[in-house]
Amino acid sequence: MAIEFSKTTAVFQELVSVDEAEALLEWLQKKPSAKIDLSACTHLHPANLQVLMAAKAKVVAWPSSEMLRNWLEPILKP
Amino acid sequence: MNPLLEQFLSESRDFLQSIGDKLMRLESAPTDQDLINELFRLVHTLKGNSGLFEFPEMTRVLHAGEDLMVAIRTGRAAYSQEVADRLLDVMDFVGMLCDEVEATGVLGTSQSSLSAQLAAELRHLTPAPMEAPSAASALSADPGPMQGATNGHDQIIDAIPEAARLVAYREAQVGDLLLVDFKPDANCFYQGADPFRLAMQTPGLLGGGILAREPWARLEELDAYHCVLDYCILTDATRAELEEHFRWVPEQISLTPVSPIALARPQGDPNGGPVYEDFVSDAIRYLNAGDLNALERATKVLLELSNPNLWLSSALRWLLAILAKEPDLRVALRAVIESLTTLQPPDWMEIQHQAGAVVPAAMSAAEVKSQGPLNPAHASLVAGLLGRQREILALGDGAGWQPGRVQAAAATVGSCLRAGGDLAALASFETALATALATDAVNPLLAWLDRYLGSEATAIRAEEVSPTLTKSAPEKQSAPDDSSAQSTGRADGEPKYGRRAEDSLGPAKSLKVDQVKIDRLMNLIGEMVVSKNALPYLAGRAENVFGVRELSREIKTQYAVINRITDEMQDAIMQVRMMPVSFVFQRFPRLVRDTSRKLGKDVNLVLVGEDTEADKNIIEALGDPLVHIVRNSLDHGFELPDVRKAAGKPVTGSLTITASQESDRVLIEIQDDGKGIDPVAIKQKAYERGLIDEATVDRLSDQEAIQLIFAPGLSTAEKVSDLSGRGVGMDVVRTVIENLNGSIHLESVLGKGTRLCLSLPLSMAVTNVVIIEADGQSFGIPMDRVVETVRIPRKGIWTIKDRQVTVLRGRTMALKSLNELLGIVAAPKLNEDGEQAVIVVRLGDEQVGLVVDSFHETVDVILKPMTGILSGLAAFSGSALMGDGSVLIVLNIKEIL
Repeated sequence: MAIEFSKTTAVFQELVSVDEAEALLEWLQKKPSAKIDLSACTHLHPANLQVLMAAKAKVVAWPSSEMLRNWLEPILKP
Repeated sequence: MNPLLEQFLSESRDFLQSIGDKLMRLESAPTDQDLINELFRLVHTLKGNSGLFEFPEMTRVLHAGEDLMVAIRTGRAAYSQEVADRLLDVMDFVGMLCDEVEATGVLGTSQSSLSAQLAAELRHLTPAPMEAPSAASALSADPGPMQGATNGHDQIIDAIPEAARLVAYREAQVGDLLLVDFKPDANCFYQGADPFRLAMQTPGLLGGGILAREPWARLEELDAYHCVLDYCILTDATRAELEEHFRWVPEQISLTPVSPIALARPQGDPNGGPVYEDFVSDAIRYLNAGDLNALERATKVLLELSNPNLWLSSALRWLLAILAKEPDLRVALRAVIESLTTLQPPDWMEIQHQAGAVVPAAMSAAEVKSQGPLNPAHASLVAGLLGRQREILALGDGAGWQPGRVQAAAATVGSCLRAGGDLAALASFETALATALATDAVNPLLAWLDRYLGSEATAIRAEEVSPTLTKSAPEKQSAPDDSSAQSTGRADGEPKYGRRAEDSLGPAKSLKVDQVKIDRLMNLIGEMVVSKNALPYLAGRAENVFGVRELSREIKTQYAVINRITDEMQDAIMQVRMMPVSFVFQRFPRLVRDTSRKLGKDVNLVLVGEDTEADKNIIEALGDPLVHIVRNSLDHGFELPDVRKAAGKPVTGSLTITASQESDRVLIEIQDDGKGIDPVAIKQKAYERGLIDEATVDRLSDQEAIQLIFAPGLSTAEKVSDLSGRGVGMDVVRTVIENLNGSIHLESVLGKGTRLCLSLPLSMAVTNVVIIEADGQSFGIPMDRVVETVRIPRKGIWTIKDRQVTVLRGRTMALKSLNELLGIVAAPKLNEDGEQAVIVVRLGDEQVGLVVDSFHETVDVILKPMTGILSGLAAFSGSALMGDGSVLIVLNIKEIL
């Protein structure tokens, strides 16, 4: 499982594939105020990205990869 | 080139041929539904096949072709002359791609744009499906009207974070950057695409941003798999590199050149406007006074005082960036400063428009400036080069390559001028060149060069003091584009894709031949082998009957030659009929997976030696027995995972199928590490079924006992499943293998596993038989049954009960008289020494001695099965024609014993 869901936080691990998007969406639908931890994420499929964008999810930790962070920060920052 | 690719190419040519054929036939019968279906199927298969390889160009056009065929098939589009033309074009194009692949092994990207164009033409002919086209496809199909383009680009630029744009601006070298607007297909996630990754891996990436295509739907209604994100990418890669990178999705990207200054679009919180008016007026004053240092200082101070998230700060950052990189670009600096009062990003297009070619030329200006005036060494070098070009042009020897020479000299002169930044001179030179080309004379050029070389030094200096740039620069930029456009225009009129209908396709490298023809050829070669055998008889007759020894020798020499050729012919036809065992093996991975899953077992299949070859008939006949064996092994052999674990074995069982070649036989070994065969249980079962008697139960060794699984009517499974266990199976397997002249050998260790070895001839065409004689008649016995031939003296034969036996090397062996078995009343003949001729044959694991009258030589024969009424005679496996024209009956040893 490339996304670990805890009570309030979804922790993205390494490569988050397209298959995770469905679960992520369901989880965010149940927990609109959830937090997202991307620090261990190396790449995420855009299906996940658009779910995060649509849910206006709150990112509490950005990816350590600067390049990924540069792409994600402008669109995921509130 | 790998075999798969070879096969693809050969098949593709067949497909293209039949597609062309069908298209022709459709012309005369445009409503023939069967033809249309067939055509669709061909295009569809070809497309599917091309998808196996990295040939996006090919797949794309074929996909478009397939869509068009679907439209025609469902009656949404009519078959027309134009459709046929386009489809034929496409097939020619695909043929050309195949040629390229065949020649180079790979498909370059050179045809990418042509492929996109062809696909677009086909799409144009394809009416949209009944449901409205999705927003995404409408977007990608229509890049937007031209007047909207500017705003569109600004929006895209805004999507790229400022930091990335600043980096791009600073790092941008001479020339324009490319802005990639990548709009992935809405359904691309279903095709396994990851557009984000693709965007991030863009070559020469300087920065990028992501834009949502539409306002976000409510989370409850969101479809995570409907792609709505567009990507804006800024790169300094070349167009070709980008086309290569996005070669799978050329229709989803649009490339726009942007000058770096156009990136300067401040962003941020617009709060806090007029307070900075002081700064604006100061800045304009500094700018007018040319005091850039003061401007920079003032900017830095204000930037430090401001909240970095403000629009103002962003504009100031841009101001600093421009100051650092292109301080001479006053217009740009002024525009940014003035934008502070309006809080609107400078409209670079408008500024560019007003100031003439300032913005695009700004780069050239910077270029010229950065290179500065030519230093004296370079200037003399340039003068030397120009002088040499003049000499070349002045040659005037009327050589056939004069136009090319003019072009070359002109190119050199042009480059010199560009390097020197002498754009005004370049313009006048271009005019001179145009005149020269138009009049087909070199005089205008010579005159120009004379003029220029005289005034060169002043020209450069003049250029230096007046950096006014003429509009000629962009014009000249576009000159090569025009010529390339012309050349592509010309190419359209020429034969497309290098081929015409009348072009021959070149010799095909492989043929498809009906098996009947191969069989006929094989039979003919077989007869040749047999008739060649007549030559030794002839030689013998020449010597013995006619007494011409000389002739006999010559016949024998000729025989040796013919013998060699026929051997090679036979070998060649065998090669044609050879097939790899992978033909049979390929079904096993699926079979093992499905069966083991059904049984709840965990089995790992290992296939070894799949490229081992054998005759087609053997390979084909091998299929069913192997399936039986593998099923049996899965069903009875392997234990359930729990049982395996308890027994200390790996939970995953291993089933290995190995094929190998040993001289003229193929060996196939099926080994499992299951529970093995329990000899006691087998004996018990066989006894219960009445297959063996009580005495045999005690007598049989374990290895002998497990051979009982080949006995008809024996099943070891506790219950009958739908897989195996009905007691037909192993006996059938053995029969089939033996009919193929093969043998089967079984070994099993209880608890460790079972090993089955099949040994089969490589080919069934030629059988080696030994000729024996019984009561004056000749019979053949297949050599693979024969162990040895011995002569046993009369007194070495005993009679036990009413059976004859002998002792051969310490072993008792049953003897049977062939005469008796064949129902011939005569008694076997003895030779002069009173010995019996005995041929020892193998029968399963036993050896039996056949008493015959005498042995003759062994021969290769083509065994023909008995036909008609005779086919009921199981005692004979067939007949063969001998070299002297006689017919030899070959015995089926297993049946008669």
